[in-house]
Amino acid sequence: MKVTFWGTRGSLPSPRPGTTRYGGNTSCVEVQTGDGSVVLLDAGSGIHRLADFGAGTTRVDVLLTHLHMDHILGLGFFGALFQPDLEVHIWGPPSATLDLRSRLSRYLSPPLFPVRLADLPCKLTLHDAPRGTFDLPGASVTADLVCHPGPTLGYRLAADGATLTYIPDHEPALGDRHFLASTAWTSGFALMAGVDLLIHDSQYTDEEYPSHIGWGHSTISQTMALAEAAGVGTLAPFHHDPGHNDVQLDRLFSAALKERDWSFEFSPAREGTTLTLGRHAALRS
Amino acid sequence: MNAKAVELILLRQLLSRLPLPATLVDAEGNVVYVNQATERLLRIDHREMGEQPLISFDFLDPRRADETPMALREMPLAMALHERRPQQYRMIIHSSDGVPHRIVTTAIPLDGQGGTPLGAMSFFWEEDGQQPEPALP
Repeated sequence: MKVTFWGTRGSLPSPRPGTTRYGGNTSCVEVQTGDGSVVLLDAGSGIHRLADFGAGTTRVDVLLTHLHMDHILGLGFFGALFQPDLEVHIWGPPSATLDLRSRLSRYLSPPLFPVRLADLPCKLTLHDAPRGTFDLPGASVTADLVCHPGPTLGYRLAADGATLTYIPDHEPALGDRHFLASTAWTSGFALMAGVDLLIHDSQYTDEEYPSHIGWGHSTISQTMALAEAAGVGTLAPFHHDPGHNDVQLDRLFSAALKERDWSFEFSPAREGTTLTLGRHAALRS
Repeated sequence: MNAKAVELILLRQLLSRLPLPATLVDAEGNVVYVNQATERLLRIDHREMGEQPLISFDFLDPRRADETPMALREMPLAMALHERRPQQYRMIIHSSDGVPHRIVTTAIPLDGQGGTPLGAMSFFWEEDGQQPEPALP
């Protein structure tokens, strides 16, 4: 399984000289499985860098965690949607009121966007992602709701003998007096337990979090504690705050690493890099 | 313990802040959470008790408002869970030290996305006019 980060930034595209290493595009991760299947995790501005899947690709699946703008912003600029022969399946969290098509159409229609969802030339199918396990070509997917404002899913993928969990927006510590005291009561924990690679929200510092409680995000230290408790192989902190530049992120991650002897490998998500998953290791290429 | 649905996780975190006694049961009828106001009223330590079926809470000795006995499975929380609709009763329950409490209780079923049954929750008020004590910090 090859995992490529095309967008790692949270909340707002933040391209500027100080963000070139970790990247300025918002959430988008490409997963390629051994049989050539392609699964994309979210459709933030980073999806724009995915221009060509090659002639052998006939289907692409896009798993949306939720419909906040930073996770769907790139959809209108996703080349696959304009290829008539390509089958594109978009999966998103169910809502109690509107189906996925109606909710996505709020963005993919005038006046916010010139092309309507219904006018896209690809073979497009929209799905409310079921809560539980379902199969895609090349990968088994488990979806479950996690703590973040509005319906929001986390995904666990299994393919090629490896596992990956993607929870880019997540506030498991919200209102919890005893965070991680009981993992059964910790949002998202079952999705991440024992995975080879955990890609997880790490937007805030401990100092920033108190003024952002309820905004739906984690601190770096909370994410480190989650990864340790869940026994993950590698942690990739993700959804970097748009206000944190490369130098600040280097310093924050370095400090977090020094706090203790962690049991996992540490590989902060950087735009344009690829991890190749084995059973208990992730290798940067 | 099984992983809890995020709806139950968030409810537990809300209920832990309320001074009003409240209880959560899962879809199997296990009491998975009681808040501190409930623990104080019933004189129990739920963490020590662990998750147990509601029908095993014999000490409650529930009674209707006219003091005739009521089965645990007839309590509003159990009825909301099994009949999938809200319930509101005036009734009497007992704390673990045998003291009776006249209460009004409201119970509602909890459904997740797609109508998945997640369990039920109940609130209750003592009828003696006492105000609930503030939630613990």
